[in-house]
Amino acid sequence: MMTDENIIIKINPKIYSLDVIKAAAHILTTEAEIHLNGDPESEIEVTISPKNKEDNKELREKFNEQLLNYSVYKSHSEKTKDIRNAIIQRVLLTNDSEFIDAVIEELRAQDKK
Amino acid sequence: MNKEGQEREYAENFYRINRIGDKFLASTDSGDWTILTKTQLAELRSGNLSDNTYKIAKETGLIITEENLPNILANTRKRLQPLYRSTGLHIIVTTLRCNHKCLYCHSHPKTTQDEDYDLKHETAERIIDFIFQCPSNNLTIEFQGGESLLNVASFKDVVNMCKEKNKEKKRNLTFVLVTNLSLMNEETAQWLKDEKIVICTSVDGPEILHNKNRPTESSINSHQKTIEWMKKLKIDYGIDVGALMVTTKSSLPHWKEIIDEYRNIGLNTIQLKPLNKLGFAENKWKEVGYEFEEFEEFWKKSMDYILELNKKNIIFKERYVEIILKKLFMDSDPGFTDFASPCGLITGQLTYDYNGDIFSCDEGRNFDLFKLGNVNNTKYIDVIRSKESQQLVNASTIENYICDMCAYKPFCGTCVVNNYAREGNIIPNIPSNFHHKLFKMMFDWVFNVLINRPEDAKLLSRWCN
Repeated sequence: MMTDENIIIKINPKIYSLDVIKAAAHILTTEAEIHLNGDPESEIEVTISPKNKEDNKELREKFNEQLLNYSVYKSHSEKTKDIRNAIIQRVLLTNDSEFIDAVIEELRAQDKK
Repeated sequence: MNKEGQEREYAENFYRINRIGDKFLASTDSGDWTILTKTQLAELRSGNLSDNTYKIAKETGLIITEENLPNILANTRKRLQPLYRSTGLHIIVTTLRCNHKCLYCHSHPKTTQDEDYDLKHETAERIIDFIFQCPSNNLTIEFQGGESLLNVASFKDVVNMCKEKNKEKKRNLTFVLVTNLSLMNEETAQWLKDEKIVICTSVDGPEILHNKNRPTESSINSHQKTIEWMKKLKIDYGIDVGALMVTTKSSLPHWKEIIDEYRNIGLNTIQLKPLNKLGFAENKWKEVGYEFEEFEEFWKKSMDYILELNKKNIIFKERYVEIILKKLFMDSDPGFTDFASPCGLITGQLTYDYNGDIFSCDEGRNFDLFKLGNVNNTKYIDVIRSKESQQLVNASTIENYICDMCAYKPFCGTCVVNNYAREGNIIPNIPSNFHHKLFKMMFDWVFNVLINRPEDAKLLSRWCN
């Protein structure tokens, strides 16, 4: 729905969760005032009040695009969280060659004992 | 499954996507990246990869296989290497006195007569002791002001003391002098040559613009003096002087003249640096400042002109773009602090005021928040381990969900001091953040050229050599 002043978008939170809606809204804060209302269980109402009234259509498209972007990012980052952490852990544990050498030396010394 | 019907074994890596026209930039935490078509992206998302998309995804680490894992780990390791560094750049303020009153100065300069603001020998000794507590093998000691040449004695004193101390410490020392050159003389020039001191100055553009931005206390012609000494140092002493510019409101219409000025003085690189909202610039923002969109227009016009020059076989580079290209195409990171996460404050650089106060970085001198102690009663290890330092370094990362969604993240960074100056908070509000807009605009420009303008992309490829 679009009035002269505001854009009102009603969202089913089972499709886009509240944190996805908040993230999409945050990205638009330089261009619009945004109010969230409704029931997180059944329907979220997003009211977008553009700072520049001529941007109504563009802002609506942008908000919808951000909803998709963030929900894809969220599901993708949840799906790959473990592998991402594993890579970082492995890199951080083995980044310091002097440390690794010291550990190897220590292990060798323990073996000799 | 491949076209022979064999099962492929791989895991999906975390990657980010930015749409650029009808193509998609995909990047990973290891800093590997590729450009995908819509079809390739759809294949990647669905997991139904053609042989070609599988090959691209494997080569660029979008998927992880037994074969490419060592490469992914090695590249991630390289990207995170700066986390293990100790401070390499140490900026010493030898005096706060200055004979210039630049409209954007963030150093809170004093008049040329005010010798209370000079670095004293005892303080210099303690600064040097502090610097050598830092375990880095490579130490760069940079002299800033005020105008360093108003206190040549102290500047020479520091160099001599460092060299003496280094007989025992055996570090790789580099000295850099940042000066407006207006007080240079033959004796100092010879000494700088003998001591192999690197010199960097400021040139804001042609004479009228430069002198407007950089008025002097005694009405000397700053531009004339700077250019005269740049030439003399090159011809008579064999010293190449580097130059930096700052873009003020007055600079905006003069993008072409500024670049031509740099070419005329024999420089082949310019860093089109936006104005920081710090020091005098903050107080005079209405006079010297501008909106981001105004800078964007200035920068893009400048880039079009720079590419025009390159088309005529004149190699002339813009420094931000050169850094981005090096990050994208070269193995080693150019180590530019603003384009890093965490940025270079504290772990990459520290600044010592004339009275021994220690600050996180040069710009940090503007706020007590960035003061980390004084060399009279603080050790390097205390600074590095302090809660305040850790909080500032944490704030200098781009670990937030908006940046984490962006394919430019592996190559990008932020500036905590500028964020604090503009937003009153060390944690930036990304959608309205100046650095965010600035770097996004530059990355968008670079990738648009690489993807959509093959002839211009060829020109840019020469900038990495």
